[in-house]
Amino acid sequence: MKHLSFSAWAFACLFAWTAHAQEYRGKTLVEAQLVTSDQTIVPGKPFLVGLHMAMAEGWHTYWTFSGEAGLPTNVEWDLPEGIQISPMLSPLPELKTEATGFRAYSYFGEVTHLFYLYPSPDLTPGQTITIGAKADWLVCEEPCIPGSAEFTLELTVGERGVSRSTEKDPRLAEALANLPRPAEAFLERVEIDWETKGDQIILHGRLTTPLPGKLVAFYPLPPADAFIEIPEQPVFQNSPDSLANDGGVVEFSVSTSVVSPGQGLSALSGVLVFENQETKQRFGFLL
Amino acid sequence: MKKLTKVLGLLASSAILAVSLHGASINETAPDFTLTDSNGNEHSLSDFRGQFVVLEWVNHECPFVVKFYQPGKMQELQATYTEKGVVWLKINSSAEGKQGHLTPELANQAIADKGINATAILLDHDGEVGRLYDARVTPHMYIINPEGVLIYNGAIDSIRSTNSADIEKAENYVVSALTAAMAGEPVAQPVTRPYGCTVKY
Repeated sequence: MKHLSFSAWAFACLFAWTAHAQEYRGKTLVEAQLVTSDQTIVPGKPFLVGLHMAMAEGWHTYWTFSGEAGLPTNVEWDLPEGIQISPMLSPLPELKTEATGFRAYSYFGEVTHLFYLYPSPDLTPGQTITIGAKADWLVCEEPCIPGSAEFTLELTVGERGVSRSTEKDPRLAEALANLPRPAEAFLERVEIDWETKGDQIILHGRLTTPLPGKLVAFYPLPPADAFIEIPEQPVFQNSPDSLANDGGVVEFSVSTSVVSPGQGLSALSGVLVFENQETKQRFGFLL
Repeated sequence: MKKLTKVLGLLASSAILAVSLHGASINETAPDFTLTDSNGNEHSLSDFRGQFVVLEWVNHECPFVVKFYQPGKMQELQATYTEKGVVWLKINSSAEGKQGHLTPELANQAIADKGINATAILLDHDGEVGRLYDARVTPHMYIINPEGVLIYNGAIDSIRSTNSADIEKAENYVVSALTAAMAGEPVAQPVTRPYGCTVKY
């Protein structure tokens, strides 16, 4: 393959996949669109695809675990042979109280959910690949309106070994930056124990500083059929002073009520949420 | 009372523990209430001792409720079970001015238009009974046995969606619970995570 000239490259960056607008009583509630940094995929190299959703002011969609209300956004893929796709990777949501008094893990404004597409190393350069996607979501203000959209991506298989190192679409770059990261890989030391006490499931954690901020919450990711309450605020076992000490240990616990299944749940995956007390920037670490 | 002991015995033997929710606890006497229906008649839960009672929280404008009413599935369930002597009460806790609020006239209009086969539509506009039961969404479903004990609290079925096509693929928890309880057996899943629109208190 010839190298793209600068102008051709710039042009390639400007393409846009078709957007879908969810209209309700004359108002656009959600504008949804698939986003990629390129139209060319490389055999054997992961390729990032985003579902970008822009919500009308005051309206919100939901995280994988929606909380006391709501329903997560879901995408079903129609993949040709030689293409596989990762589970949906979602940026850190906000825990907000809805107009009805229920708390939910939500996205206001804009959100980009990410997927890694894995093209087989055996794809033939020059081949065109067509990928279908159907997205379903629930968008709520006080009322809730379900939305759905179907998308098609037409991608070209490029030469082997040629791959982008950074994401040119700012929406992908931002979503990547806001993805919760694996705690084990990014925090100095993480020790987690789970305790079950009656209908409570309690996370006991020990983290070694420095940390990216103060631990402010645990956002759980329970199995789909489990019914759990939103966890309590973290309780710290040691003095807050140690939070600032490099190499000090922060001991905390977070408890959650498990409504159902009574005793079937002995641990939860989820995200530890830290907040920089000055910048208010938040960071999520996956357990 | 003998029957109740038997039911509780079965529940204990299947290692299902009582689950406590605010107000309404599984395997305990369901809190009593009195509400007026769309025809101005008062009903108390305690009037229905000796019968199974289904409580269905409703907001007809909610897409999760439409999912079941549009294809006539909820009406079908209501007909099936009321014919078997089950009391089916729809409870409307939408406050005045909020989505799905039913005046007596609107409730009766809905009964006629949608072919609703419930025993009654009860109006709970101050949300007192909804809060007593911690009803969170529409449809949120509860089942009370003939002894007045709460035996089910949760979702209508296992597929959390607004798509009517999913109904046939899902396990209907209300059907499962009523089938088991009416055969004198324990309810396998007495509590499930309800899904739907939040109740518009």
